[in-house]
Amino acid sequence: MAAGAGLSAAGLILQVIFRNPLAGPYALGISSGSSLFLAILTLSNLSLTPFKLQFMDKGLSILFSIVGGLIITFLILSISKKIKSNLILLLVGLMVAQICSAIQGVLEYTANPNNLKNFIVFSMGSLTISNQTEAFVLLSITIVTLSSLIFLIKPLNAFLFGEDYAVNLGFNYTKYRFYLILIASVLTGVITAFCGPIAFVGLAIPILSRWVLKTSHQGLQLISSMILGATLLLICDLVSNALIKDVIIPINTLTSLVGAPIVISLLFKSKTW
Amino acid sequence: MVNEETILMKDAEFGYHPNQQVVIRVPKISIPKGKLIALVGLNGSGKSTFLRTLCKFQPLLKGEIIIEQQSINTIPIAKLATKISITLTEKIHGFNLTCFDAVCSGMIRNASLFGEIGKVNLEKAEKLLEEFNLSSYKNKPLHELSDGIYQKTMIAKSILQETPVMLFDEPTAYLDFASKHELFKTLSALANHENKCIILSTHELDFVMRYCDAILIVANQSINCINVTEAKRDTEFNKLSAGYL
Repeated sequence: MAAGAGLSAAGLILQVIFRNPLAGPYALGISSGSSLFLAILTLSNLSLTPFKLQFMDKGLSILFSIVGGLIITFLILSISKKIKSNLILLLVGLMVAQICSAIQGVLEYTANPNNLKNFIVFSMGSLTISNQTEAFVLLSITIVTLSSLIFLIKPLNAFLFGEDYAVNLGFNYTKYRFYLILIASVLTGVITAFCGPIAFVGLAIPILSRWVLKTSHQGLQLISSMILGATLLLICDLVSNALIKDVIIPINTLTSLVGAPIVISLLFKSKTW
Repeated sequence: MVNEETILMKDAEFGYHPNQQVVIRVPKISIPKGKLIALVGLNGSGKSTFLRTLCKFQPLLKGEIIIEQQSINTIPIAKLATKISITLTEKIHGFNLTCFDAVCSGMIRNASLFGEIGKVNLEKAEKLLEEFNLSSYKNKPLHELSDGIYQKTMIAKSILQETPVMLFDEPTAYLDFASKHELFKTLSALANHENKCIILSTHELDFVMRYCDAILIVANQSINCINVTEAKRDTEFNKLSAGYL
């Protein structure tokens, strides 16, 4: 549930910053960046386990995941300044994601089989977290990050009018954009580190939320996105466990199966988002 | 009519930042309060650059611009929001933004943590809607508004922002004939009665002659401020109007 709420919030932030309803942690390649960095970590056998620092291992992978996400976000952001068209930006995001997965492919090809299997299972996405400590870490990081968003509701509202208006209304655009992107990347990174790259939640939920709740108030939209995201991902999780007996369907296939049609239908319904 | 100056420019150079390409040089110019001022010039002469630099969307290359005794070179963004408001050519829409949201955004700098602009400001916004006959559009999304209604909404937003200087970048661009007249009338009344300094960039020279008090002419990489009564004797203005006025 924390994952659903976090990803939805990250998606909402990115959609506002890019002023594009098709932005999201997965569509812009941010999740891919996180998972590439995790691949580098997992597959290259760079592990602290021999030094009996298993706890540090998870911390390291979270850190790698966040850094990977941040790098991609800033890359996409610097490209977005040169490109006016949202559509092209989205295509660039997809290409960046492709590059990440290509590099990942090379790594996978050369990795040892044991690491490889672990990684492939991870990349299908899973909401099953091995132990309580990990669940606690994920939950607390997500809650802390999400709470810090309270201080960014005002700038988010101003950002709806675009960069120029936000500045003219008295907001230091560069500063707030940095905070917002940092939060979106941390959320994506942490959640990817624990649950793998989960598709479509960050993209579809904010669109769904704007459609359900016809307000432009980003405080309310954040809350409703989090609730919707948490609920939807929980349902997906239940379904993934229950659909076929004794087999857990990878969460990613489910979110894609549910998310993609939602996005398509919503985009058809409302020409203006 | 009060005639004090609001904007003062000294040795100011406007242009593009990365390659330092200068578009306009202004040795010295002062722009008065209480007047509706047209910013005219050919396409690409730098009108938008001029307006964007005043708002600090892009940096001033050299020199100084002083607005109400404060240099914009050093003024923080939050403070500048109390001095200058701008309406851009590009229409904003999406994210469920309504007419009322846009008007209220003028006061967003004074909003609470959760984005509430407070009872007093809400009442002011409601009053503005009534004044501009926008009440029936209050909860309409921005993309459903006609261009004329949209411009009125943005004027209301600028008024709510309560700034001495108000800028408009080609507000008449998509308007029909009647709406253009109405817009110029509204802005003229606002400048003269509320003692605002309103600068609008436009190509509608006939409307300028009829409604504006002064003209800023951008030509030959420089800006000249003339009174509207002198316009017909001004070489640059005559070049712009190509003898049709």
